[in-house]
Parts: sequence; C-alpha cells; structure tokens
Amino acid sequence: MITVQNLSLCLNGHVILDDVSFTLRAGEYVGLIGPNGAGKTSLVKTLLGMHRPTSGTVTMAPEVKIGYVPQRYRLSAVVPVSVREVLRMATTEPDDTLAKLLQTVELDASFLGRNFHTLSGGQQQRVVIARALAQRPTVLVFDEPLTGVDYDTKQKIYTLLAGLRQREGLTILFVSHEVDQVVAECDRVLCLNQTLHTGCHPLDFARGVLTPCPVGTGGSPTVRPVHHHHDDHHDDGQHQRAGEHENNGDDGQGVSGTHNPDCC
Amino acid sequence: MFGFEFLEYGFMRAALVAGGLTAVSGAVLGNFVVAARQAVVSDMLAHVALVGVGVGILWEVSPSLMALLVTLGAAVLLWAVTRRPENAPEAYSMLLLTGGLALALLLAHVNKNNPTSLETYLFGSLLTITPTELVWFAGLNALILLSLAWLWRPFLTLVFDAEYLRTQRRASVYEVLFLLLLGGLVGVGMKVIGGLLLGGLLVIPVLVVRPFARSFRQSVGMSVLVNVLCALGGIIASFYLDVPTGSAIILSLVGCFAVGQGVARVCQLG
Repeated sequence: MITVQNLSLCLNGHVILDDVSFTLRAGEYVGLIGPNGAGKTSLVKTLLGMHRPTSGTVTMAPEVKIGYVPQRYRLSAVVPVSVREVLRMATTEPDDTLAKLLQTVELDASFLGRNFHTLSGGQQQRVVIARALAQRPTVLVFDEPLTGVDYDTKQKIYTLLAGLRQREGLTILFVSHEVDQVVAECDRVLCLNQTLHTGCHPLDFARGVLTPCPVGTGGSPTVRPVHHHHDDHHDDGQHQRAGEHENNGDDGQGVSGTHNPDCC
Repeated sequence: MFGFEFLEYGFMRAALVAGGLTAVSGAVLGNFVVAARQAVVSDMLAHVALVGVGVGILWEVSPSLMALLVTLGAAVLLWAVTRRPENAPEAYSMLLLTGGLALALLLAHVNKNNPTSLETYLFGSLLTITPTELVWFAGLNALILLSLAWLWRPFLTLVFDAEYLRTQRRASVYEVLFLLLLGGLVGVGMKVIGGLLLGGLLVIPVLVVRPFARSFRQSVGMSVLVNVLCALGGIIASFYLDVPTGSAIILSLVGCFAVGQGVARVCQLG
C-alpha cells in the first residue's frame, strides 16, 4: 500500500532520516520503534505529506487514505469542547454517523454531548481514534498514542486495535516506545534510528545491542517477523526490563550516532 | 429614576452599539484565543497598535485606521517569526509588545503638543465615537463574525489541535487568517475599550463560563451573553455613576467571574 524507497530527510541542516526503505502491505500491523530523536515522528510526518523527502520516494497505492492518531493530550484543555466537536474536526456527517463511529471504539452515543476534558484518558484516546476513523482511512498511523495511559487502559486499547484491524481490514502503523508491547501486538517491527536497523530482534535494538544489528542499506530491508520469536523472547523481555535500569544511560548513546550519512 | 433617559443621547446610543458589537466578536474570538493559549498575543497586538495611533496622530490621519494597519502587520510578522519551533511565541510577543510600547511612547513625546492623546487609545474612549467610526467598527465586527462562522471548523481544529490540522490541510493559511482577525478586533477595540483593557473583553468571559459549558459552542454562547450584558451594563453604569467606561465594563466582568466561581464551587461544577 505504501512503499518508501531510499528515503532521506534533512531538516535545518540535520540528517533526520537516512536511506530508509520499507513497504507497508495491505492489512499489516507494523510497529515502529526507536529512541528519542530517532526520526519516528519525522517519518510519520513525511508519510502524511508534511515533510518533503530530501531524496528518495514515498509511493502510495491509489486507495491509501491515512488516518492520523496523535497523543490524546495534544488537545488543548483550557476551553470546553464536546466529543461531537472533536469528531466534527474530521467530518461534517450527522450525529447518527458520529454515534456509529463511537460504537466502533466501544463508546455509546451519550458521549457525543460530553465535555472531552472530563473523560478518562482511555476514553479520550478512543475519541481521538474515532476522529481518525471518521475520515474512512485505509491506513491508520498512531504516533505514540498510549503515552501517559495506565496499564489497564493500554491493554483495552490494544485489544480494540486488534479488533478494528480485523473488522475494518485496516493497515496499521504503530509508533511507540513500548518495545515489549509492540513486539507482542504487531506482525513485524521496524527499528528506526535515522536509518532502519534490520536483522536484529527489536528487543536487542531497544537495548542498544547493535553488534548483530546491521544497518539496512537500501533495497527492501526484511525486518524479521517477530511473532515467531515472541514466545522465545518473552523471558528476554522480562530480563530486559530489569536490566534497563542498569544501563539506561548507555541505551541512547549505544543506539544513536552509529551512522554518519551525508545527505545535506 | 432608572428609566431609559441614556438612550436620548446620540453618543450613548453609538457607545452601546459599538460596545455591544465588540463584546459579541470579542467573546466569540476570545474562546478561540484562550483555547489556542494566545491571550498574550492579543495583548501584544494591542500594545503594538499604539504605534499606529502615534503615527496617525503625527501624520494627522485616523489613529484607528493606522492602529488597524499596524496591528495587521504585527500579526503577520509574529506569525512569520514564530513559524520556527525554536522561536517561542510568548517571548517574541513580549519583544514586539515592549518594542511597540517604547516606540509609541517616543511618538507620544514627539506629539506632545497635539490635542489627541494617546490615553484615548490606552483605556478607550467609547463615549467619543464618531458616526463614521461607528460604521467602520460595525462593519469590521460583522466581517470578523462572518469569517469566524465561515471558518469555524478549521479554526476549531487549529486552536485545539494544530498538529492534527497540519496533517489535514495547509494550516499556515488558517494561522495567518486567525491572527489577522485578532488584529482586526484589536483595531476596533483600541477606541472602544483601550489597548490595555482589550484582553479582558476577550479572556474574562471565557473564564466566567468555563465551569458551566460542556462544549465549545455552549462556551461561545454563554460567554457572548456574559460579555454583552457586562458591556452594556458597564456603559450604562458609567453614564449614571460617572466612572470610566472601560473600567466599568472590565470590573463587571471580573465581578461575574467571582460570582461564577462561587456558584460553580457551591454546585461542585468544573
């Protein structure tokens, strides 16, 4: 559906993305992880057409329509705004259509008239997802949507997404910091730090173990499908979480600055 | 004794129309301004407008018109400067605000022998509005309200979730239009309520109704009502009590805010 080829992006003289290539196929649920400053949001913005690639191409199939789901608390909270008004940012359709949209994210029609800011975090995130669905997208892009959402709510949202993907046949790109969850939920995971790191397990990538983790050089990086390894690595995940505290400081350094492209 | 004798005076009728209309567009635009956290920007524009007033007095052209032009220019300038994320809007607003005020003071010094005083535009002079000004102000207010009605959805998206709007369409167009509307209102408000008090007409009604509204539309409706009542009430009070109009209007709004907060607390709202 979406093919990214040799995409490089420079902003204000800084290399943000370097030679990134991947394909999103119809119906896939793909995770995108990477440390802070890895270029995740810039990649998303490039897909949304907000940044023009410095070089390389982004090709979309004709049926691609991207729905974008930001972090819920991006919405300014100083003046009341109803759920209906939040949904109307995306569509002019009448109330019964909006009620159906709410149904798809498991909220009932009575929420339409409620003040968005008085809802719980999980409910707010559902409304923001419904807003993205209002545009009848074929691809949903989530930009760290679960930051600041409690564990229980997170699980419910993950279940909701899996259901949405099945029922509506959506393709999903899910940007997140939470490697364990992304590994568990997604079909495959893209490991981004300026460029895509292929051939390593995302958990290793997140830990900054880059030795067996070569940089993807053009072509079509085949990110290892992780669901086969999921069970094997479940214990690793636990270890990783425990170990994270020890070499937290090393994480960022280990992952960043390994590659020095010259696209600017 | 409390009849409608104030309506017998032409200047009072003009004041009520100009004040009422500015209160309507101030409250509507104010909801967008507060949601976008741009209250400081409105204050900045009002101070920079004083430069236009100074130039108008110096060149003997309408200070209101010059204020409007300077404000629109400052609005575009601020937008251009703060497009870069590293340029914080509130810091650059402060730069323009103080720079504008300093320039206005200089111009006031140069104009010190001129009978038209800067003070008229600092605190407003609603009771001295001329028929020509009234027509202009009414027209500008109508233009602001029509533009807001026409661009309601993109503006709503802009002020609540600018990043989302950027994923949908060219947000910069709406950012500029929004600042221009704010500049236009400042141009009107300089004479009506004064550059120093104008912010109150935008922000206070929104704060008054915040605990009671459940939607943006409700917030707009309620704040228009509060603003118009306080504006008309303030103007009439200033007639009978012989107090400055701007002062009476803003103090009524502050009074409403206090009462509103009390009621909200008793009823455990918001």
